[in-house]
Amino acid sequence: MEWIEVTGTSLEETKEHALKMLGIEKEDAEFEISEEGKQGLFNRKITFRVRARIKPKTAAGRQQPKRGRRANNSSKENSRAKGAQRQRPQRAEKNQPTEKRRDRELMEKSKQEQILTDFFEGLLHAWGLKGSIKFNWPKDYVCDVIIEGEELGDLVGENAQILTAIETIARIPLKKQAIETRYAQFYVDIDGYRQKRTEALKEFALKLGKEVQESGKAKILEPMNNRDRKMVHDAISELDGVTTESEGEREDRRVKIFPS
Amino acid sequence: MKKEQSQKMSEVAPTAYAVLEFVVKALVNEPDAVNIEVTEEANTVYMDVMVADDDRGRVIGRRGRTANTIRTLVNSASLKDDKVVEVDFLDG
Repeated sequence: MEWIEVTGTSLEETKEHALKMLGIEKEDAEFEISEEGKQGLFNRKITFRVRARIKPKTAAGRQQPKRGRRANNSSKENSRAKGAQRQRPQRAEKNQPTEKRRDRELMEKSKQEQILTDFFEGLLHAWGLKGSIKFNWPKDYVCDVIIEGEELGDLVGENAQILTAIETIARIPLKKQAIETRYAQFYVDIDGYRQKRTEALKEFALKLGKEVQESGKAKILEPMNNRDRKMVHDAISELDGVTTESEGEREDRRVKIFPS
Repeated sequence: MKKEQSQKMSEVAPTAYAVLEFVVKALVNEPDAVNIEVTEEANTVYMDVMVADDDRGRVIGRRGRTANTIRTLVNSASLKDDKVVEVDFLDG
């Protein structure tokens, strides 16, 4: 499982960024705080540096060697951080993830499907649309929700903005009912949009990665959302001699591909 | 009296209203306590959402993230109504 590294001005915010990038919930993440409240040399800003990854499901995964740069923190990183520090390190320590949810049993698939079906049928109906809902379980804890129908374009939106919003909202009823259990990471695809986009983006990322491999010159992509950035990170991780990193804040966050 | 007026007003942007109502009710613990008041002013439809006290956090979310996500959805739904809709979450 790949580690990502993010910086920010408060621990909470930094972790939140990391979760966004990975496109997962807090319960499914593993954090490592590699720098807590470090003060820059020439400015007074405080940087938190957090490494995060999708929590491995097996004990073997946890024993993977730790990669990544930890010592080599430049002050350039600090200049990225903006805004005032909101949390003190002591408080932050208390907030370190104590994981419980992942130890819980998975909610029965049929129940998760029922909750999601109720939600999406209700949403389609409210929207005045017609569509069919299908499920696909690539793993026990990963669920693809496939919605097909006519004129579902409004549910996708520009840059899948609406689709992403729907996904976020759909998680809440599931969370509400998962009291003693946990639920799958689920991904929603509407009219094959995600699928097409994933393929195109992966192809594009690999093409750029190969260019970086050959030229040895770094490339910076357009700003993208967390899911798209993750796709690029994943695609590039298949290539040798190049690596990726996200930089910039919020809407401006973009992937940099550079020789490793 | 007020409620009647509000129900009529929901016809102004029926898709946006239905989506907003559905989503908010799906998120809260007390769907019966959800109330949406609709007013129209200068080409903008205002939808003010009221929920039970305990549910306020649920619809607003951390740093207003859930609230913004709901707005995104309702805005998209309002395309169908050909209206500009603004959603607000009110106290009490």
